[in-house]
Amino acid sequence: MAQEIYERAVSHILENQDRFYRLAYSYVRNRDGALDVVQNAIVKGLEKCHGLRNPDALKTWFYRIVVNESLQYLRENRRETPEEELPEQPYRESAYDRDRELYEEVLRLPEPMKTVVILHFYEDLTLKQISEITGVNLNTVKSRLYSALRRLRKDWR
Amino acid sequence: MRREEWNRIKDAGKYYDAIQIPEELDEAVRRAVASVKPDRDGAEGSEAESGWEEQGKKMEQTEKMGMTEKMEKTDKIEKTGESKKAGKNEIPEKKQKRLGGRIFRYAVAAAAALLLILGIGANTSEVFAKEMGQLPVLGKLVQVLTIRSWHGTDGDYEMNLEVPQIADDGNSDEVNAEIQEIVDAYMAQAKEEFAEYKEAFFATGGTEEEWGGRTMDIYVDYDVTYQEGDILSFVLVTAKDWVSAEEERHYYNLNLAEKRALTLQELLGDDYIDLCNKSITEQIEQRIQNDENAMYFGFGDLADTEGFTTVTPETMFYLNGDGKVVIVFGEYEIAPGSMGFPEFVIG
Repeated sequence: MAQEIYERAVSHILENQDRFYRLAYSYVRNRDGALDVVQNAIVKGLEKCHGLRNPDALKTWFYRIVVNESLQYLRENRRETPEEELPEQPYRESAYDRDRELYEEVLRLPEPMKTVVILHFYEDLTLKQISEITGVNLNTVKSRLYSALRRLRKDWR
Repeated sequence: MRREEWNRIKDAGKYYDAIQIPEELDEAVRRAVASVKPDRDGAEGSEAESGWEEQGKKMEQTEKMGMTEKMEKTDKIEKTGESKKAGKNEIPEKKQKRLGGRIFRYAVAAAAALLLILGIGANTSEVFAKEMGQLPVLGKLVQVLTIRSWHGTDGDYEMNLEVPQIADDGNSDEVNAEIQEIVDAYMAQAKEEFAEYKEAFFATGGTEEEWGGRTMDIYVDYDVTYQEGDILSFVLVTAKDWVSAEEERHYYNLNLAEKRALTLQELLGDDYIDLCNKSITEQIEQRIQNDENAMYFGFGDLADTEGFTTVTPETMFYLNGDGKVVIVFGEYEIAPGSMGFPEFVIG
């Protein structure tokens, strides 16, 4: 059983490594940091996956580790690593690109709101799954989502 | 949520999808996997194994609790005769209704710029009577209802208000007045803060264009956590949202018949302080052990900071669906902000 979970965890990681990288990158905003986060998350995840009785929880479980590792990284490296710009033209100097500005706004959301938006819209997770990932109850996830939407709305006026 | 909004956030996701995957990722992943794999069956001690088991148990329990909660809600919906079925994997019916309604009202309000509904009670307002019917938890006994519902824009402010009131023939006038005061004071304070901010913005040379019509969100809502006979437990949540999201919670635990607030002492006995302190300390230690991301001041890695010391008669709490006492601490009170409002079920 333990061995089976372990193998499932490894294949889950290999199949989704790009996703984990993007998620990590959206927090730490630099390449080396995101690589570190993914590596740490894999090590921690594999060391602990034997305790997972329910293999179906693997998906949310691993997201949780990636999010936590990203936040951990930010706490430890605050101000030390510069954020990389989005690819292409620098912010606000180009012709108006509303999607880009909106994405910038998403990245600027306070952490708990940002986590909900990214996981819900860009990783296609349900609010219930996000509540498992972030360890807060469903109502809190909803209130974070709606707070985030209220903020973002200002942007598209 | 409006379709258009949904699509816009989704569309912006192309920048998320465009995050470039470095060539080194493959190698980094393989190395990380390899670093764990060797001799995991042999070298690991049995102690570590049991630690993992614990973690597994905890996750299972969490899932079970989620299920129970859902079933309870479904149960209640049926009891009140609502014919709508709560789908097994869906958001509980009650909340879905409320949130759905909130967004719908928002849309209407945004178009009308200002929407203000003042209701007096379930009997005199068709709107509220209708809404009450859709709240299964309150279905059997109409006692907490929305006295003021306001979703819309008011100058620089965006309001999302669901202000509660207890309707029980005037017995709870004091509580109602207090709620009203809290909400009014909160809004006044929020507006003052924002006005100062705006003034400072322009005083320091900011232009209208840079200001870009920014607004402040003010949010008031409530949640009934327990209601049985004359015992009522609910929380009033206020939040404002501009530089950072700040949330305040006010818990009410009432004996309606006796017109008074319940105390921890009467619920848990005379030695409630020791009982709570012991239980909370144990739970914190357990959480830290089971989840490396759990952090509490005064424990584990944060042992040298000042953390939880003792429960007092003023400590916040509420009654959950099982009627159990749940102790709540404010954000940053006993743990870093990332831990939110830490809660501890007692008993």
